[in-house]
Parts: sequence; structure tokens; C-alpha cells
Amino acid sequence: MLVAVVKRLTELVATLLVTSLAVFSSLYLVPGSPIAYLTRGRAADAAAIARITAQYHLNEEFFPRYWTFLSGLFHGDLGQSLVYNESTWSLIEPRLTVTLLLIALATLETVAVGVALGAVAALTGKASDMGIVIGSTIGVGIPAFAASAVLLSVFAVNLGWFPVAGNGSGLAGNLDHVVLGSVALAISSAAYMVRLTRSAVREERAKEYVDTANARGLPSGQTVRRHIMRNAAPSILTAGGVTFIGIMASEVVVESAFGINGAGSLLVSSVGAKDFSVVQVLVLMYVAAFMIVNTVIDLVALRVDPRLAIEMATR
Amino acid sequence: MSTSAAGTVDRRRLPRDWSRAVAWTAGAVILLVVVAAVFAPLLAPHNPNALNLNEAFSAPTARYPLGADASGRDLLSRLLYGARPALLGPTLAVLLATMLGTVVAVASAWFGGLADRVISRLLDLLFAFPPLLLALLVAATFGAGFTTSILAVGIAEVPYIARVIRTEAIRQRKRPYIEGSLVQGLPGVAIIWRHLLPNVAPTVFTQMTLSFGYVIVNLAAVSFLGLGVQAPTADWGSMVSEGQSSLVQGYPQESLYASACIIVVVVAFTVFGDWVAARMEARR
Amino acid sequence: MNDALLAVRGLRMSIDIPGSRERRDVLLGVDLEIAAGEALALIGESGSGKSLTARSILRLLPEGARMEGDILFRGTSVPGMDRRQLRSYRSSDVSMVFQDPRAHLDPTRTIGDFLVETLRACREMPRREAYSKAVELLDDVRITNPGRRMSQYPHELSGGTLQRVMIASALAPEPALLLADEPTTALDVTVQAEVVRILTELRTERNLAMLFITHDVDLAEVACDRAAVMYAGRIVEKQVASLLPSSAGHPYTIGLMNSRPELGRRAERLQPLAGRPLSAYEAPAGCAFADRCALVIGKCRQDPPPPLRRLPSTVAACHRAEDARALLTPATAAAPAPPASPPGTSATAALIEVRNVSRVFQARGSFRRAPIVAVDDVSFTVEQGDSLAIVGESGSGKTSMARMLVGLERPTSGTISIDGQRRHGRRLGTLDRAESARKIQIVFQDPYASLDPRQTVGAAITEALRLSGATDKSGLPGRTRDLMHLVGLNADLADRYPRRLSGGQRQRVAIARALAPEPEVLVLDEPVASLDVSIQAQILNVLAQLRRELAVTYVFITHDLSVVRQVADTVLVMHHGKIAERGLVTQVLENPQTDYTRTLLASVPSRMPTAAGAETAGLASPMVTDVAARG
Repeated sequence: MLVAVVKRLTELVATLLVTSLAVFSSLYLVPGSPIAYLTRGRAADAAAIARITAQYHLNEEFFPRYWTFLSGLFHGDLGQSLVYNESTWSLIEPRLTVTLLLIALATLETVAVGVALGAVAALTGKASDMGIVIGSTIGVGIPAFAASAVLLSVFAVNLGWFPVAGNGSGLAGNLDHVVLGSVALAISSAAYMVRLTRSAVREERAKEYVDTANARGLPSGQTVRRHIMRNAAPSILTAGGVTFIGIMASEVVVESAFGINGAGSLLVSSVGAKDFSVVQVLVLMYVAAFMIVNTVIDLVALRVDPRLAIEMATR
Repeated sequence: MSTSAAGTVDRRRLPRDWSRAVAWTAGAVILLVVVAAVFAPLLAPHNPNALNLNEAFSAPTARYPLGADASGRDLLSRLLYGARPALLGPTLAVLLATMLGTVVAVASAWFGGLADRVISRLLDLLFAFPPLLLALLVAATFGAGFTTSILAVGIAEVPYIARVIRTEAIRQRKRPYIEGSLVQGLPGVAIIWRHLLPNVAPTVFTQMTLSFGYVIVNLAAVSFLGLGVQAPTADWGSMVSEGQSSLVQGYPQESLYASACIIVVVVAFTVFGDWVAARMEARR
Repeated sequence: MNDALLAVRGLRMSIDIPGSRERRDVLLGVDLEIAAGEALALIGESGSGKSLTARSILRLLPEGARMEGDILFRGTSVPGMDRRQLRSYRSSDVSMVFQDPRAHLDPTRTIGDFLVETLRACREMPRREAYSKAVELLDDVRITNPGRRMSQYPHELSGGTLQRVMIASALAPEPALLLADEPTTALDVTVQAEVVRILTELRTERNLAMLFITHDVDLAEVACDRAAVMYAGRIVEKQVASLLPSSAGHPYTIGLMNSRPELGRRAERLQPLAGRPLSAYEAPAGCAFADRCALVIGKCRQDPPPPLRRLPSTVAACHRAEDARALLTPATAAAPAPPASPPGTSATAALIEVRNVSRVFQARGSFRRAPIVAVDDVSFTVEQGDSLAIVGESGSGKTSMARMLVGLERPTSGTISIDGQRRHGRRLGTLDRAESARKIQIVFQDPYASLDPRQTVGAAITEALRLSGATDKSGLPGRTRDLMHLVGLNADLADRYPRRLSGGQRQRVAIARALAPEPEVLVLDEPVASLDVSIQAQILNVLAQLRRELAVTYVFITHDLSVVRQVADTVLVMHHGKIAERGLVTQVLENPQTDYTRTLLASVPSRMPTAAGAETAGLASPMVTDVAARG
């Protein structure tokens, strides 16, 4: 068991390193010289070139540059924005709360609704199963930006229950602005969760150990909780991880639709403005978040199914 | 109830006919969209890019059957033309993802050992880059556009497809008929081509159909952010975002119609894909 | 009989087939009785309905199953119970043990969790009490170190241990009746003997009644007092278990017994039953067994199926049961004595040489775990024309050995040479494999997975022919037909896909394919273990005939010593990766030199003491049928 945990954590660190390398070096994949890319569309006088060269350590070799980049990360130096005269962190920091709130709320809604409905569909009769399947099939087809348009139009513009754009101030204000967006995100994510949960639970329900439980006279509620759901848990957790990634990615879109000024819209605008240092840091933050969440999920799954420890240890 | 063979009885069962009818409806919808895309120039009443500021935001009339957008362009025409990138993009992306995914998955399953572990790791890495994020990264590096968005979304879809195919390929690889072919002296490539791939093919097709829905959504989202199909080309995803400002002013038509189109197509593909998957399962 | 513990009356059942509109009959009227403390065997092959009969006693039926008739437990109707009564019935009165214990246990729960849960389901008790009771139960089924087992998971334990855990959990509530659905089929033969012994002991201790489902007539004699034989959804014979060999009356029962190879002697030719066992819904009008029966007359097909009736020495459902007795003494001659010279003494070089071969698996992912040694420094030779059997239980290394012989696995050390082609540790390249294909081929155990489902059987055989270097394209179809005839298949089947063939037919195709390159050696890895008993004999006969006609050398992997006697001249007994004993079949089976071989021989059901049919000992025969007719 310990071996599996250690291995998984090492994997996490290794993957983070590789990803940071990938993100870092994507700058160098760009056709043309990095300098030309970095100064495209902006004044390119000698002073600016010198500044950029210094900032990106372009006169050094690749790996020392990478090392400087990495160590900079650890010291909290995330670089300077190329567009604004500020440090990257000062651009990101104020926008984090609203983004985190949006993601957290959407995830909560997705997991609560997704797992519950998925389990209900798999365990109850044909009628409710069919209803839930239909609902989730449609839900999967309602992407976050489309749902945003509808929700915005109905609840914000027409009914006026929620604000149309902006961040709001303070936690309550943020929440108010983020609710519609979280629902927009949750619709297709929850539908996806419903489908995956349903198939995982259905699969377990058909297994032979359920036969044994029935033959021993176990009450069906107990069989479901203690056996079926427990065995389905690793698949459901994995599905949750995938869905979470989807939410994190789509929230960028939702921020754009609802005019929320969060880390997501910063990412989009930085891409447009070619503010590469901001893009780099944000992408790394996103990816790091997914990976940490996935590692946590894997570790939780370990506790549930002891055979996974062997599998993880031998990978 | 009639009796067919001795001991069997034929039952009419509604749910079964029902699911087939639904699947065929979905198929019909898909066909409709394909027709719209292919014959858009013939079906559209106007040039989708023709500006006519006088008619901006007009309600549905005989001339503009679905109304016009903020710049007076006919919505119906734009929706019809928008079907083209909506179908072309995902088709290319799914083909790319399927080919790459199948090659990688089969190689991983066949060679096993180190190759399998390395490939699995790479796939895990790719899992961490959802389509949207990869598209953003690619756009930042190589610039926005239709081609780059297809590449990004296609590559981001690879791990999802590859994972399922790999599981199935490993399952088949272990079966005695493959091992028997090895002992018969058949070269590895021939075994893969003649025996392994045909048996993995149903899974591949099912995954392709299922992926279609997700890829349509992802590409539309990329266009929504302005990183895919560029203006002024009509595209449902960018139409939703272009319609954003109109929506806030009380004219939600553009965004809503375009959203509706996307939703309908994705649902149709999902329903169809589910039915295909169920049929494959039943055959086993 | 009103005092029967369990009575099944007129049980009929049909099942909805998911994904189609059919409803199929699976049971066509079953009547049984079990008295308190008595063991009844339910004998049958696939499709007989034996499993469903047992499951219906606990109402453990699949969705879409419709039942008619009645099942009475101590006079109470089981189909009529409400949910609360049913739960109480299942948790206290009747218990069940299934065929594959590993699949039937929740992999995420420890053995202790499982037992405690079972105990607390039948009555309220505090955890601590349940825990210690559970340890006691493990001890009752002779599990070593029970305390430790409580905290282990199913994947850490062997099949035999798991089955004992299942039995322990089944006996926890001290039920009156135990249903055992092929409880030992998935286990090694020595473990099987142990489990049967445990069951017999526990039964006598607790006056436990048992319904024991099996396809093995010998096992039924060992474990049970009475037996009922099922075919195509009906009971066709009822008899006292120990009297079956001498007094069976139904041609099917007799045919089943006659088709088995015997441990004591080799028959020149086994007497299989033609065709394959039918399910209830496939049964034609009239007697379901008619098409396979040696005694069939017009009446059998025209009249309705014969009911069970009492005969002088048995209870059977056959119009010609009186004449069936003649079938009891099979006319098979003993086979001529196999070659008398012990292996390894001929002057010519051996066809197969295995020298100091080991196969070691590195246990990855754990710092402390020792490597797994599947095959440990094994050496032996096989002469041309010999038929060698490699016998062993699970973990003996016999399968690894077979796979190394054909090149599917590489030895970690040592060399194998087949007809002069040396193979060491390196992976076989394409050219090597092509060369090896002409020397040695393999037939696998599972007939359902041995053929490419997307290839017609004719194409599969033709492909094998082409690979072996046949250059004459036009001659291929003819040669394919010839091969099919050789294994006893109708050439019409060439255009069929595997899913349209029966297990026995698929296995014949697999044999034909393996013989296409005309190999010197044919390795057969448990080729009949997955087939029904009546079909096993067909395949064994085909193999014997092929050996005579083609002069091919066999290496036969099996766990069944009777099969060894029937097909092999020399035998290699493997145990924990090493060779325990080697020699001529006649010598090893009659005069074993090692304890392990002796234990193996003693575990064969036909060598085990039969259940004390105390009631029938010394009874005159009319009273025997009283006893038989009861169930």
C-alpha cells in the first residue's frame, strides 16, 4: 500500500515537472525567433529587446533558462507581464477568488446531482431510469456556453433575478454573480457524471457478489451501500476527476459569457494579447490543479479497493 | 402470442421498438444537418455575410425568416452556412483523434511492457490538457484559426479514445486465437491487421461516434472564445459569442438559435452513438 | 410425503431473453424432495436446468424469469413469501454456495467483514461476538490461521480457501438445507476432495440437508445419498447415488457414465454420446434425448415425453428403461498395452529436449516480495511418437511449461529444443516462429476463445494451411475439406462463423487448424476440460484416432488422471514447478512413488469412499426404489 502511495506521489511530481517543461518550451516551438514572437505587434527598440532578453534569459542555454524559470516559480517570482507593467502574480491574484468560487460551486452541483441521479437510474425501475437517461443525453449536448446564453437571457436579462455581468464585491457579491455561471457549467458536467455513474453502478449490480449478498438475505439497501456503491466508487471517482477537468476548462468560457473578470478571462485576453508570461503561468496553474485533484482521487480510490494498490505499485 | 420454435415465444415489447425509433430519428436529424451544410448555397435565401444595417435586429419576416443579427445579416443563412464548419471541423478532428488513438492504443496493447508503460504515461499527460486549454495554448503559440483549433481539439481527444481502445485491444490480445496465430507463425503485423484490428473495430467505431458529440462541443467552445473559425465566416460557436452583446440588450435570437443548433446536433450524435454502443454490446 | 424438508412440485420456468423478443423454456416440470439431513445430487450437463432449479429454491432468479409450480419448505410455499419472510428464509433456513468463490465475494471487503455481515444478517449480535463466532466458523472449515484470514482480502487467498470461506458463511446461520452449485468444479482435485470431506463431516455433525449440483457422477456417489439426473429441463432418473453404476435405467445416465475415461484402465475407444446436450427450449416433441439415444424407437419421437416411472431397480423416464440395462456393461475392449520401454532409453535423439528450464516472474512494485518461480529447473525428454501427459494442479507450472514449449513464453534459464531447433531465452522472431510452426502446434483449453470470431472456420483452417508453405492455391479448398473430415467435421460447416458452432465442434476446428502445418508435436492444454462430459469422449476419441493415423507426438496437459490413463503412454507429474514423478502411465498410476502422486490418486472421486447409503444397505431391491422414488 505504501509503495503505491509513494509511487503515485512521485508520479505527480514527475508529471508536474514534465508539464512545466512542455509549457516552458512551447514558446520555443513558435516559428521564428522567440524575440520576434515576444515583440510582435509592439515597439521593438533596443531597450525593449534588451529588457525581454534579460527577462527571458534568451542569451543563455535552454536548461539554465528552464532552471531559472523553475526556481523563480518556487520563490514566488512568476515573471513580468509583457503587456502590463506589473508582475504576473499581481494580475492573477485578485481574480482568483471569483474563479475558484465558480469552479467549486459548479463541482459541488455536478457531483451532488450527477452521482445521485446516476445511482438512482441504475438502481430503480425502468421508468425513472429512462427518464434520467433521456435527461442526461440531452444535458450532455448542452455545452456551457450555450447554457450560459440561455440562462443569461432568461434569468438575468428578462427576469432580472441575477446580475448580468461583472464580479460583484465581497464573497456574497461574488456568489451572486457566479451562481448562473455555475449552473451553466454544471448542466453538461452533471449529465456526463450521471451517465458514467449509471454505467458503473449497473455494471456492479450485475456482478456475482451481489448474488451472494442476496442469497445470504442481506437487506437490499445494505447491499447497495456497502457493496455496490463501494465497488463502483473507483470508477465514479475517476469520472469525477475527468469531469472536474472539464469544468476547469469550460469555466473559461463561462467567464467570458457572463462578463466575469476572473483568471479564465485573463487567460483568454492574454492569449489574444500574446502576453506569454501570463499565459504560461496560468496554464501551469490549471494543469497543476488537475493533477493534484487527480492524485487525491487516486489515493482515495486506493483506500476503497485494495487491488488498486497492487496495480498502482506495479505500473 | 405466437410460437416460433418449440419452447420459444414471441413477445411484442414496446421499449425495444421505441429505442430504435429514437435512434433513427437522431440519424435523420444528422442527415438533415449534413444536407443543410452541403446545400447551404442553394438553401440560404441570402449571402450570410451581406450586411444591411437597416435591418439590424429585425424580427422574423418573409425576407429574413429567422430575423437578422446586429449587423443585419440574415440569421437563417448564417445558420445554414454555419453547419459547414460545425460538421467539417469535428469530422476532421475525430478522424485525426481516432487514427492516432488507434495506432497508439494497438501498439501499446501489442508490444506491452515498456512501450505500454511509456505510452500510458504519455496518455496520462495528455489527459491533463483538456481540449479547451490545449486550444488556448496552441492558439497562443501558433495563432488562432480553424486548422489549429482542429489540431488542438483532435489531439486533446486522443487519450479518451485511446484508453478505451487499449483496454479492448489488450482483452483481444490475450485471447487464445491471437496466441494461436503466433504459434502458427503468422508475422506480427499480419496478426494485427487480419485478426486484432477487425475485432477491435466495433469498439473503434463506437468511440468515434461517441466522441463526435464531445468534439462538436469543444470546437464550438473554441470558436466561442474567438480562437477557432474567424469572423466573418459563419459558425455556430462564434455566433453564440457574437450574439452575446445583442443578448444583453434584449435580442437573444442569434445566441439562442445558434445554441439550439449546437444542442440538437450534439444530442443527435450522442443518441445515435449510444444506440450503436448498445448494439455492439448486445452482439458480444 | 408431508414430512419432507423441501419439496419441489411441478416446477416450470421460462426466461425472457434480453435484447430479443424471445421467451425460452428452461424447466419443463421438476419434482423433487429432500428429507432433513439427506444429501441429494442433481446431475446434469449444460442446459439441463440444474442450476436454475437450485436457484429457484432461494428465489435467486434473473429478471424476466417466470416460474410456475410450487416449492415448499417445511410446508411453506416459497414463491408465496413476502419480502420479510424471504429475507428471513434466506438468512436462516437455506443457504447457498456457488461455483466460482472468487467472483462471488466482494473484492473490496475482507473475509472478516464478509463473515461478520453474514452473521449479523441472520440475527442481532454485537460486532465483537460476531467476530469471534466468525473465527470459530473458519476453524470449523479447517482454515489454518483463522485469525489472520479475517483481515485478508479475497485476492490474497487461493480458490480452495475462498470456497471454504463461502461454506463457512453459508453455515453461519445453522441452516437446515445447503444448496451447493458445482462447488468444486473450479477447484483443484486435491482441494475438491478436501472440500467434499469437510462438507460430509459438517453435514453429519449438524444433520444438514444438501442439494449438490454436479456434472460428475462419481462425485455425486461420494458426496450424496441420492441422485436425480436432469436432461433438457426435466428429471430423467432418480436413484440411490451409490447404486447408479450398477442399477441406472435411463440411457442418458448410462451413456454419461460410459463416456467417462476410467482411471483403472484404458479403453480402446470411448463410448461418447453423439450430438450435444440440449436445453429445454431446444427439445423436440417427444423424448428430448431421442436423437442421441442408442435405444430409440418410433414411439420415443411420436408420443409425449415419458414420465418418471418406477422400475424394478430404479426410477426413470424412458419407454425402454427395461432394455437399458443391457447398455450398462460397455462393450469397449481394453486398449492394447502401451509400449513397455520406459522413456529415455531409445538410441535416437529425443524429439523434444527440455534441459534445466526455469521460468521466474519478477514481482514488480514491491521491495520485499520474492520472485515467483513457476517452473523450477525442469528437465525431461520426449521421444518421437510418444504421448506424454503433464499432470498437475494450479500453480504446478504445467501451463507455463506448455507455453514455453510452443514459444509463447521464454524460459528464464535453460534450453528447449524441438526437433533440433534450439531455443534459449531470446524472444522468437518471425522466421523462428515460422520454422517452429512446422514442428510444434498447440490446442487451447477454451474452445470459445480459440477461434477468431470474425473469421469463418474454413478460412481459419485455410489460413493455417497457407502459412505452412502450401504454394498450390487451387488445392487449398480441397485440403481444407480433408482436414475437416479428418477431425470428424462436416465440410458444410466451413462457411460458418464460430458462434454458430458448439463447443465440441469448435474444438475440432482448433485441432484441424493445429494439424494443418503437419507438426511433429501437438501440445494440448486441457483441451477437453471446458467441454461437457458426453462431448469430452468424442474429442478424446478423435485425438486417439489422429495419433494413430498421423503418427504425431502428443504433449497433453491435464489435471484429470482418468484422461491421462486414456490418452497418454508416459506421464510427468508436476508440483510447485518441479517434477514430482515421471514414468510410464501404467507404472505411475498403479505404483506411485511419491506422496504427492499418491494424494492425487486418492483424490480422484472414483477412488473415494462413497457416501454411506445406510438406508439402502442390505435392502431388497423393491425397497430401494421406494427410497429412490421419494425424491
